[in-house]
Amino acid sequence: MRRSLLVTAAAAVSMVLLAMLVPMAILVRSYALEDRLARAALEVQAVETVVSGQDAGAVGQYVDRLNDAEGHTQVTVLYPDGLEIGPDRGQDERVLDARNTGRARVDDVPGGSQILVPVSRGGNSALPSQTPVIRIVVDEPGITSVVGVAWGLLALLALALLAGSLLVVDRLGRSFVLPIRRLADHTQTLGRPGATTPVAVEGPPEVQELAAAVDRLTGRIQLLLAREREGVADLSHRLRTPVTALRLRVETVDDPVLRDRLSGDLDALQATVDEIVREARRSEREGLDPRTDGVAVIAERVRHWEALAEDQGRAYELHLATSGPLLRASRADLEAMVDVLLDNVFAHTPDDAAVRISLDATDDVVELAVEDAGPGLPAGLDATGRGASGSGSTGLGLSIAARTAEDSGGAITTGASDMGGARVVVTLRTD
Amino acid sequence: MAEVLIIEDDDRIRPLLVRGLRECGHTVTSAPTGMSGLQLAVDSRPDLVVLDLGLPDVDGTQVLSMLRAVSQVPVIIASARADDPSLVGALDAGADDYVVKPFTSTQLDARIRAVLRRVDAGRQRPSTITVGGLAVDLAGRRVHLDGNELDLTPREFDLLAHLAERPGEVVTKRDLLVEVWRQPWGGSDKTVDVHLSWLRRKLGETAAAPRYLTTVRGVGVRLAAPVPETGQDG
Repeated sequence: MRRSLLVTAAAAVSMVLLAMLVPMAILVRSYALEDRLARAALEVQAVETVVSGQDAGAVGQYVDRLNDAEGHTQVTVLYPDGLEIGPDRGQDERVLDARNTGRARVDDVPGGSQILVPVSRGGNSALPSQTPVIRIVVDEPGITSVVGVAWGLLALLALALLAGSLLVVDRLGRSFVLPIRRLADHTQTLGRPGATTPVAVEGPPEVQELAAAVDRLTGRIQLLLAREREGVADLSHRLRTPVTALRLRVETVDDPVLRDRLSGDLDALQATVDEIVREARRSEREGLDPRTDGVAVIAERVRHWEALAEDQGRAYELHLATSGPLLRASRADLEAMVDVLLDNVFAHTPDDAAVRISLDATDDVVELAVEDAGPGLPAGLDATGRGASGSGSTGLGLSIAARTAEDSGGAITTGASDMGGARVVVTLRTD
Repeated sequence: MAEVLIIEDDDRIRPLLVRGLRECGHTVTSAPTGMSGLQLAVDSRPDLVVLDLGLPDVDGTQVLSMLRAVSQVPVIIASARADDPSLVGALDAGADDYVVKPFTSTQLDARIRAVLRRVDAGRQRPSTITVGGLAVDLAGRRVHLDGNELDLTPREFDLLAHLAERPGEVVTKRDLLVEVWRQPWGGSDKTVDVHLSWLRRKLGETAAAPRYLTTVRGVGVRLAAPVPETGQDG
């Protein structure tokens, strides 16, 4: 943001300086040329005196002396009979015009300006044929003249103004950006232990208001999470206490068949209660910032089961990505998801049935595929349905995995593998 | 059998627990509040106290602290959640064991007997259990195999320690789920299996060629010192 501010300010200040300094530079050059023309006019007066009273030889000596001197002018005397004294020879229409009209004139010529002054040697009655013309060519002021110095000073002034303005903008930008940076850093740490204290932000009122709003929101979320934790603890207590009473009461039943049947029903009830409590505690596990390096966690958990496969002599083929995006799920839920998928494979396939696990990742999706060479999934299994049952299990396992996938924006699908058994694919998305 | 005091506020659970434990052979008294339970513990000096954490008058952890100030009676905490933060606080405050609801009186009885056995054995019990070349330091939570320390996870240590306390005895996976994982209901045998496999790896053996850990198919697992190979000479 500071860089953008600096670039914007530099562009704006540069445009203003250009709009101001370019005309000023032209004006300086124009003044310098006018100054030279004024000096040249004085020289003309001196030359005019010499030309009107001296012969050509004396005029030649005088003009040579003038032209040899250090200056920005070249003097030439053009006589009507064709005699020309000085370096810039040749009589064009402008010279003839000055001679015929008897009027001095100033013209722009390449590299500067020229002054043409007719010299009347016979008073007001002198004819053009008796009128020599003095030509003084004045060089245009260049970069090496005083104009160059002036332009250099103007350039230095421009640079100083630009630097000064950028410094001011930078200081101003810091006063905006640093508080926002601190606030952004603070929000990044939310959800981590010890990072819940309100952020102290100085700076513009808008940023302070934003910081206060973030703190209010954070406090509110924490309060809600704390209430949820208390609620879940209470829920756990309220659900498990009557189940405990039922367990104890079932123990007192004398009929062993009825006792076993009631105990089985209680097992199912308790599994449901555990599932409800587990789901209710999901946000507690995730906290404010549930982002997890999914590929690393899943790969580590997949390798955890490798030891059992090795013990069973089961082929355990792994194709695991090495990096991937952060996933919107807690580490505990991702581990539980892998455990559910692999537990199903190890529990419901023969020990020698091969397993293939593929973990692929793109910028925003992680896909875990678990395939086996077992008997395959039972027909009509609803992977996400509670109570759907395969091989005598409650079916709740896959629903746990499905919930983790769906909460991240993904899904779970089941099908047949080319290995002959089941194929379960879990898609997880980044936030 | 033991004299057991139950401090439990729930009127549905308390009488059933009293009845169940009495049927297990214990002499049982009970109290519905923390303060009345504390008074009873001081007056009747039971052999063991079962203390519910969620009491109406005083928090169970505070009751335990007050009890510990006057008595070293073994205490088993009853909690609705295995990961209840107050459960950790109670164990730190001197509780000897815990059970997680729901539980049966049979399970609680087993827990009571285990705690009383530990208390009876007291400090005479060696802090290190040795099985062959395997030394399990229970207090330091360290394991050495033939003098080399093993790097075990907390769960692997608990599993090995539980088996080491019963050397030569076949322990069922259900027992391991109850005692090590604290999952009297549910839980998966494969969870136990995968941890046993890691233990085997770290012990330098396999299921096909066991030394210390032997799986008894359909029954459970046994930890025992490896039998020395005897040479067969003509």
